[in-house]
Amino acid sequence: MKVELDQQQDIKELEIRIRYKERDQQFERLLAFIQAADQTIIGHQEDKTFVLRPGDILYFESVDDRVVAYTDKDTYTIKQRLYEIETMFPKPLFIRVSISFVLNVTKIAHFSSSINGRIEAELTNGDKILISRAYVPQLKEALGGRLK
Amino acid sequence: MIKKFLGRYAASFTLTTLVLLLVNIVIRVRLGDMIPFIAMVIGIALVALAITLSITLFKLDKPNALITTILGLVPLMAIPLILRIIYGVVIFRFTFVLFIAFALCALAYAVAVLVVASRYKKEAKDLNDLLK
Repeated sequence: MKVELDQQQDIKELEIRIRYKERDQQFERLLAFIQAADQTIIGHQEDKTFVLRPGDILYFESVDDRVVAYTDKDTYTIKQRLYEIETMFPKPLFIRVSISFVLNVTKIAHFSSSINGRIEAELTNGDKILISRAYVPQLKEALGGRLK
Repeated sequence: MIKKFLGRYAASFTLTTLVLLLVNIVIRVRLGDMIPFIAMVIGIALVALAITLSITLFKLDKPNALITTILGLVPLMAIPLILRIIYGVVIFRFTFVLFIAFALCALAYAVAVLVVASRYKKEAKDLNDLLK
């Protein structure tokens, strides 16, 4: 993939133009990544409110009746439900990996399997998330030619 | 969790029924013995329960993979004892048959564990390849 940067003083807002031959998986992922870069989500910590960028979030976990977003350093409570988060962000970036986890695929360091038939994803911060077998096919699809 | 357990139990019950039905036919044809119906039904229910418990324990997330794998073997060890009560001297005339049954259970479990482990290892490898 070739990246060209063009600085122009007269434009009003940041402009991204993608030249492509066909809308393949790589294209869709790149598009999703760019679209997500401009999105935010509101996170709460006690009585404080924070604006979170999807790129900073490692994963979302559904705990009891609430959803928690994990970043490298902190955890934030999110108002949205897990299924809403799934649809909120472009699909290849955040993907459901089990009934209570939605993962940022760009934050996965590697996968490992255990003797009792479990697959775990180790994230860049060292956290380990269990992957449900039922979600493996869509995870594979999301990872096909993942953005680095 | 309960739904999953019941689903596994239904599958185990069906499989156990088929296997023991076959064993009963062989006993009837070769030895001419009949196994009491009530004993069979209770036996099948208990064997199916042991298999279901074994799968459930094996698939537990906590405390860790090695412990759950060992725990999964424990309920299976009850199967030869249940079968001994059902069939009595018809099959278990000699003590060593019971030990063979224990060994067969452990072997079947080991094979199942190896198959599952290798399948998931491959799955993890595929996922890691996609990450590159």
